[in-house]
Amino acid sequence: MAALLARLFGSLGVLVAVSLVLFALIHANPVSPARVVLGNDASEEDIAEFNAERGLDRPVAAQYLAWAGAALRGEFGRSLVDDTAITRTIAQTMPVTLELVLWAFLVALAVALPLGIVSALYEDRWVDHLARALATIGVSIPGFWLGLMLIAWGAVGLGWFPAGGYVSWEMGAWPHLRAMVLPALALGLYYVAIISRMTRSAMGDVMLAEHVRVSRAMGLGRGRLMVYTLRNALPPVITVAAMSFGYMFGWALIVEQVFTLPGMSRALLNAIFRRDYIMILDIVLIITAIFLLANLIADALHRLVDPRVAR
Amino acid sequence: MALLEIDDLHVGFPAGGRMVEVVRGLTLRLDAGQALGLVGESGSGKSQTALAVMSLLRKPLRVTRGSIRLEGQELVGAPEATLRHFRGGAMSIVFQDAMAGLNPVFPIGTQLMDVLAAHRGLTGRAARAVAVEALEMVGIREPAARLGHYPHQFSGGMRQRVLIAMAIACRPKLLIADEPTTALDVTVQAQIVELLHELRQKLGLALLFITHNLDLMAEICDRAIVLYGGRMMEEAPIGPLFEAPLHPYGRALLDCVPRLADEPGALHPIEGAAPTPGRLGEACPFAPRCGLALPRCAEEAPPELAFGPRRAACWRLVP
Repeated sequence: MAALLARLFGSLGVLVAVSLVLFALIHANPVSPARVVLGNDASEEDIAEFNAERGLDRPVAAQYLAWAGAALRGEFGRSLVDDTAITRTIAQTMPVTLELVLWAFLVALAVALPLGIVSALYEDRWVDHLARALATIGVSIPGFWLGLMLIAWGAVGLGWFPAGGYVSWEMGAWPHLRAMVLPALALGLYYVAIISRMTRSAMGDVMLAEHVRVSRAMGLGRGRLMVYTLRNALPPVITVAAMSFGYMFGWALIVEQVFTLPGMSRALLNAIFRRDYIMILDIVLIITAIFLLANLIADALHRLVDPRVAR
Repeated sequence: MALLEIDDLHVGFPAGGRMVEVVRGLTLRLDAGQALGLVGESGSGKSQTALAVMSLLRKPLRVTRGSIRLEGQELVGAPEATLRHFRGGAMSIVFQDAMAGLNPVFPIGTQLMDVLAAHRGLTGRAARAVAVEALEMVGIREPAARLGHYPHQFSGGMRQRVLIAMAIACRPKLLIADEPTTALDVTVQAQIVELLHELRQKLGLALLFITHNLDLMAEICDRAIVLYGGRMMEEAPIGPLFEAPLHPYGRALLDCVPRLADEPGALHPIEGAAPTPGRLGEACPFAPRCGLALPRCAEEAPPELAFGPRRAACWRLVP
């Protein structure tokens, strides 16, 4: 428990460090948001006024403290460009991205774990070869192209799923979920490949361990042997799954573009084009926080699975 | 009928289009309650014999010829379900590597009780009681409290005791001990051997004790088979074997054991190196290192000759 708390504080430290670096990078950028908003014709006075209104004329340290103080209260500040509340933009777009990633993660786990286990159990049999082929394809296909192929197959060809767009829960659970199927597949396949390969290799290693030979020598049944092996194989799989979960937020931005989902990608891309630095900072930090949280959860699970780590 | 009957056992693996054999035609009998030692250098085939009996040979190793019967039931080629029933039930094994032998992520109580569930259908409180009794029998103090502990909370010697408890929990008739003390401290070695001896008497176990340590073997076994290059060199009761080995290899092996009466620093190793499996032809495998070798030894395998309760395979003994 103490170790877990230490990890938590460490993660908060990382978060602060990331925000500092981002802030420094933003202020090292020569293009100011004032230029983007006001255009090249704007006079120096206009720009000075723009900067003064938004507090951009203060020292960088003061700006950082003001931003950080607000962020701690859950206030992410206002857009430099159109003055909308960033907290509201995030509240609108974040749930869509989060849901997409969660579905993709569930799909990845639900396919990868059984696939990895079965291919370890039937090493070098057809199941194993099929899984390996799938994994190679999975890591080779770029997500956006897979998205387009899924649209061509599932939406245009079969007509089972919409080709894109978001359907809110209020329109009914089934239409909502149906719109998420193809994006979740497009995002998840790569991680099916990664996680299933890790599961297979971890299982394969454990199956050669001395204690598994002892369990066999004691005449344990298949089911028990499986439980004995799997629990030993889980730690590396948990680590990879947690990292995958974090990475998915990055790839989700592209998948959202392909399927025109109103997630964080549009907000982030707009912010990048318009040099809306505070918006960029906030979104990147939130993704960082999710990544750190996923790793913390992985750490806790790891402790749960392996008593040797718990001490 | 003997408890364990092995006839003309061959264990090998395919390599380069032919079979490389690591056990070559071993025959032995072990009666209920008896203790038989299998002794030999690394690579003599003793551990592969043990694994063959348990049907736990690791691929690509497999039994290529011969028969292994436990209470008359053929084990070679038996279906997996039958083997599972025998393993941990009528026959059990304790391995060398006690440190790695227990599953690190389950409490030892769970591991013990799973064996009881597999063979005796015991669960819950009944399984717990038998598990406590088994731990008590192998000399683990406060066994009830220890059930919930994980392997990393035990020392190497204690882990070996737990593994022995698992092996005997279902009252096997045959216990194979495959170098059970090699990885342990010398002081602990003696305790484990003592424990095996005690259990054998208490439970009427037949023991197949595999070792390269002649002294440990002498303490626990009634009889021993000396293996070399996958073949039986000599079989004899412990007393006669130590007093007057028939086979030159048995003689050389005994000479290797340092004695207190020896000159300080005096060691008598067997010159040369143990044979490589696959390089062995039909000749006596010991011939290249044997001081008494005849021209014939390098050409033809010697027949197994019986001398009362003893057996030996050596051309020097052929009248």
